Amino acid sequence: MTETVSDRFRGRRIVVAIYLAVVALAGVFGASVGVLLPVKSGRDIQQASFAGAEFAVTPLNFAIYGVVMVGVTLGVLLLAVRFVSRFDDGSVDEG
Amino acid sequence: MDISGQIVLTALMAVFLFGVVLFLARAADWRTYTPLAGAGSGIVSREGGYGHAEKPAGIFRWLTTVDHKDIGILYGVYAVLAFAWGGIAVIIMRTELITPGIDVTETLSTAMGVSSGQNLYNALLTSHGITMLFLFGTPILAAFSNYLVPLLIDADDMAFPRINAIAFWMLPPGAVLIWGGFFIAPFFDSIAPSMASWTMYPPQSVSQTAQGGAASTIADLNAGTDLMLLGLHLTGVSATMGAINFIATIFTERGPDVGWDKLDIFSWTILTQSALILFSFPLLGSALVMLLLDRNFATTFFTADGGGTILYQHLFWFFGHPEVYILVLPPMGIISYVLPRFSGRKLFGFKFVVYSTLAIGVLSFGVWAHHMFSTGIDPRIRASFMAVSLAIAIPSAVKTFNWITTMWNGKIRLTTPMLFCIGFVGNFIIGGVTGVFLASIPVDLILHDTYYVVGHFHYVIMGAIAFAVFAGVYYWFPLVTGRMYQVTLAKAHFWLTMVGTNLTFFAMILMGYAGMPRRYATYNLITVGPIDFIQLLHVLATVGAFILLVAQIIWLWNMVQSYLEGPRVGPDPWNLEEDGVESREWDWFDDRLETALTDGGEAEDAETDA
Ligand code: HEM
Ligand SMILES: [Cu+2]
Repeated sequence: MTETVSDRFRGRRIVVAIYLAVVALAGVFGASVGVLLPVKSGRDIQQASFAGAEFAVTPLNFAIYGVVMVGVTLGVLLLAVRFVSRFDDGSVDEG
Repeated sequence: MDISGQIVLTALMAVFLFGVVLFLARAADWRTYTPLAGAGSGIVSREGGYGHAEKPAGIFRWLTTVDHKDIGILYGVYAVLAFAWGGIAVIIMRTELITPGIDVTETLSTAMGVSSGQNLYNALLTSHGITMLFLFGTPILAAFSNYLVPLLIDADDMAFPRINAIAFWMLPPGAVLIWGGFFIAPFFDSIAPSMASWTMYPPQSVSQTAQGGAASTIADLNAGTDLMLLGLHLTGVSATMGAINFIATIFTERGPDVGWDKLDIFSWTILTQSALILFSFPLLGSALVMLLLDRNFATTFFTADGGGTILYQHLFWFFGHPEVYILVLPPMGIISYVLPRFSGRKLFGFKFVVYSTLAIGVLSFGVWAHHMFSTGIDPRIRASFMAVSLAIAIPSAVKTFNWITTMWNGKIRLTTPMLFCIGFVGNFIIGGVTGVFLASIPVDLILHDTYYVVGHFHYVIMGAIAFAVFAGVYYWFPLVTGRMYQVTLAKAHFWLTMVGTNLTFFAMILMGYAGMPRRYATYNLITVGPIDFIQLLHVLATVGAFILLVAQIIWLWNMVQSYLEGPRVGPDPWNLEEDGVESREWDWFDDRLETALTDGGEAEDAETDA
């Protein structure tokens, strides 16, 4: 058994896949928090706000919140990776 | 018993021990020396890579060895046994937590001689934590460093081979003492396994009896805890001796063409880890001795009207936080070493990875009080610890950044070690981000002592550290055994471990957020959170734990079976040459194979993991 070139994946695809997985997990976390907040005993939280914008505490809204928040934060870091990688003299992936 | 009785007993004991020695000598057949391959070409041949020309056969080889590679294997086997003990303990705990009330541990407690289900749960919790950190975590990393560092730096062996052997042989008695309470509990009512938890906070750890309550006199104390403290002290001495040895080895034993600029990333992390051990384990040792004195000699180091319980927490966490980096730095080294090889290139920003390792090493001594935010210490002190804790996230992020950039411009081969590397990166991001939130005082005050904390550090310890260990085990399996593992089983192991880890620990993060406190056997009396929701999450976490159990059984089977009859590999099982990313340890392997071949060994088909 020897390795062939078709066994290889472009690194970018893998990195983007990790990014998407983590962002999706943030969505799940957001949705769970959306379920949890209204039922957490001793509190009755129905309304939330972020930077002045009010929104209802629902699983969907919080999932969106999680996806956008983590997506943007890690997205900026990903752009930074893209930027530095131009100065990477060890690159084996041209194109 | 009178004196003569004792003398007779002593004599009998001596005869018995002599018999044991005779038996072992026979079993080992002292006369059959197996000359190692290449022994003829001089003591310090490059083929052998070390100066032990011949070793006795059989069990005596393992009892008397001072060869760094053999000691590495001993550490590995020992760590796997400890992993099994800690794993079984946690499986019992997770089973208990399926339902809110007490059930499984209550039934078991009678059989195991512990006074109640809750007490048994606490004992298992203590044993799980201590075992995984001190008997699995540190030793499994020592397995890698003992085997590899001398090969990577082109040394003949460790600087002090005998101290190396002594350090290892302190561990088995350490384990017997730490687990001792479990072995003795069925026979004595007044002795139970320790329930002090891995942090061993006083006043609990100073006054708890075998029944769980506080003791009225020193005589009531649970001796299981004393045994555990002594055992822990022994493992601490062992780790310190190992650390001194690695520092001396890396400073003085490097080969002629391995300058500081050529030192590989794994050895850098081991060097930093050893420095951390050297400066932190003595603190743990001192705190343990003070606990023992408080328990047995009525000193007042940690009593409320003596030094105070907070004193203990400062001492413990001055050791405890560096300890988590002691555990995570070498795995980061493994990832930095293995990940580029399957990205077909060299590590991006090598220098920065080394610098961030050193930075973590220094900073890790300045963050300990983030474990004490809720104890009522001075808020100004708290704020400074919060600042340093946020700062230490930066070098960790630098490393993650470098791994990702390495992959970004690489061509990736999804072999099993590489899958574990990628899993490490993903899980470490989650573990790190949850940690940064805990480092912020207002968040920590809400989440402290909930399952959120448990989720956080397990993402790092299981999701990252154990993943790196598996990446290393698969990557170097052919190096150690000369054989290839079964690829399908390995892939199954990876995916089950990945799913199990995320199911278990993601559920824990959520249930902590919902208000589930950590370290409880039951949650039927909870008033903070919605019980149904929490129970659902507990069930998910338990399902995840069982998936992890199945995965590790598959792994163990794969390792044992492949070690015995896996296909033999060629000199470059990972095709590193194709990408120009060869390294010293595989050159050594190549040489060894060649000498074995000229000595009449046979080569079968070379196998790889695609
Ligand atoms: C990225 C940097 C990290 C930060 C900022 C961080 C922060 C924290 C904080 C603030 C706590 C205390 C939470 C509480 O008890 O309320 C904590 C707990 C813990 N962390 Fe981390 N952490 C980081 C990385 C790690 C790593 C790399 C490990 C393991 C190798 C780790 C293992 C632990 C453990 C074992 C505990 C719980 C100790 C206990 O109370 O039993 N952390 N972390
Ligand atoms: Cu810490």
